[in-house]
Amino acid sequence: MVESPDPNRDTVGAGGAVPTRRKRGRPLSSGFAGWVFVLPTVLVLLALTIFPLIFSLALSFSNVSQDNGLTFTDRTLDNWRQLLHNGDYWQSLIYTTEFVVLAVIIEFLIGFGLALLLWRRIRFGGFFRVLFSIPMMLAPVAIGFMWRMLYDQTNGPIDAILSGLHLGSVPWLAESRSAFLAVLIMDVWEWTPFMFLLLLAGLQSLSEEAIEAAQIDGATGVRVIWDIIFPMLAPITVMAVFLRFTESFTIFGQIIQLTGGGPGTATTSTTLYAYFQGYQDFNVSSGATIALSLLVFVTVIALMYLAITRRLLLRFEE
Amino acid sequence: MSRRTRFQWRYIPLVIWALFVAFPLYWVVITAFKDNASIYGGVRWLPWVDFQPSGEAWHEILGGSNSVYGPLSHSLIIGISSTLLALFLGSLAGYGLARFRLRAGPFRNNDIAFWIVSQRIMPPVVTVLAFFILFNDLGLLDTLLGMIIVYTGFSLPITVWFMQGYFRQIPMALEEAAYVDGASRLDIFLRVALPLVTPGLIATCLLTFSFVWNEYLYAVVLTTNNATTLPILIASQQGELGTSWWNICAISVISIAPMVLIAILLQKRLVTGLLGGAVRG
Repeated sequence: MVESPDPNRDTVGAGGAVPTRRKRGRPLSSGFAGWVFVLPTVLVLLALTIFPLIFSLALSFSNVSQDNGLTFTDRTLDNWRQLLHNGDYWQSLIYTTEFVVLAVIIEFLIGFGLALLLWRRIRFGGFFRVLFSIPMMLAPVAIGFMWRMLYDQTNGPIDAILSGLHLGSVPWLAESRSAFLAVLIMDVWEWTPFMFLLLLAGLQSLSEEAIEAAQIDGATGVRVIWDIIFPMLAPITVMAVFLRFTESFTIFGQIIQLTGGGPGTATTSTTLYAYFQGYQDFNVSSGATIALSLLVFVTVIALMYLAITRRLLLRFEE
Repeated sequence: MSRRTRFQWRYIPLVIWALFVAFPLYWVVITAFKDNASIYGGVRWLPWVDFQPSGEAWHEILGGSNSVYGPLSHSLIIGISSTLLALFLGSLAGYGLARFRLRAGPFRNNDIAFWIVSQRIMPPVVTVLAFFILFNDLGLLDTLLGMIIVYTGFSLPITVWFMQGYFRQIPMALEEAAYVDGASRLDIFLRVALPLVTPGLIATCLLTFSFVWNEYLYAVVLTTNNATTLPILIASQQGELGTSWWNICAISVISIAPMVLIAILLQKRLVTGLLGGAVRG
């Protein structure tokens, strides 16, 4: 079972440990001492995430740029107003969304397939599991560079293989459609491990009995997966997709190394665009506005996602 | 017996995926041992067969003009310091959330835990420009201290999430016994609870370190010279001298190798930690 992040529940740990603990009068449950443990973290997070967030908000309503010596100017709505009419910005948001949706779906499908293959004990299973989990641990810039080398049209192995098979040469990073695909393949390489590991853990925690019972009843492999395994995996699927979904929107290092956002602005993710505006061109306020709009966008989508999946999960439980 | 002799079809997709995963890694490693001619003179696949391995890149980054030591030491100092700080704060908070009944107005334990984890959802680009301006004023730009501060905040949500999961998995009986014996809460935390979660602590430590070790956006905006990390060194190789693939690959190998080791060491812990003890297998 998985506990999805649910702000409305008031239980500590599995099975509502707190109320029972209280009834039995366990000694460790007094609240004040708990704050001594939690407060330092809360203060650090207030200082290092909430304060910069508010500061960023202030930046977006000001005009801090290189021209103004990086100091605050009058309050203004200009940044937000300009954003609405900024074609490059909308294009980056559309690109990022398309990329995220496709990447998460593909990574889920492959990850689920691999997890099903490695679920039962098989020979070399441990080896495959370790190997499959490696890519997600590596530095994004190293991954981006690695793939740039692989896609290289004159000295890269991918084109050598393709022309060896007489499939012709693909200008991977020079055309927008193939660059989209290039980034997608790289991301699938990097993040399928995440889906795979989470779904494998989910599979391994399933009760064997329900599955065996279904098999005895004569259910075929596909039916077992669809009717029995999939509903039982629903909570962990919801969580894995949620984590990947929110994090994919922040893709940066891989793309900047692989395509630099190009050709043109074809693979400029919103984070990349905010970075170009805010740091490379030193329009800090403009960059902060783009970044904040991304936060709003991701938060809205995340909340919608949680609302929809909560209903789905309830239906599965019936 | 018939089962063993039957051909296992499932190995076909597994081997295909294994090749897909392994090939880019293989390519980086062999390219780190190529020289100019073996890279730009056509595609070479196998060392000793179609090209002679060369140590040129390694000479250059380990001893030559393009030394890896500065960024490597920055990465280590920043990575270890912020990991330890985040781990210290995170285990305290994780313990508090797992073992105490907290209230802040209408908010209870799960609300506080959710708030802490939700920081992780915030795109780093939202805060990085604010840090840039703040650090510019405070003189923290391009300093190790500044990076340690930023990365501690960056890692904290995930360490809290992991540690509270690990604390929830251990039985409470020992802590209660210690409490009855009159031990203070801090003593119970340090002497009873913490030793019980040591494997989880180590896993969290390795994973946190990997996040900081790999991070690029904060590093590229907030450092220029004195606190640059390995990812910055990798990224900055391009353009300056053309693209010296062998150098970038050699530096990438230095960046990747410890992470591969961590992936092997972590294995199952990675998942149980990520799910905060929510999956019981």
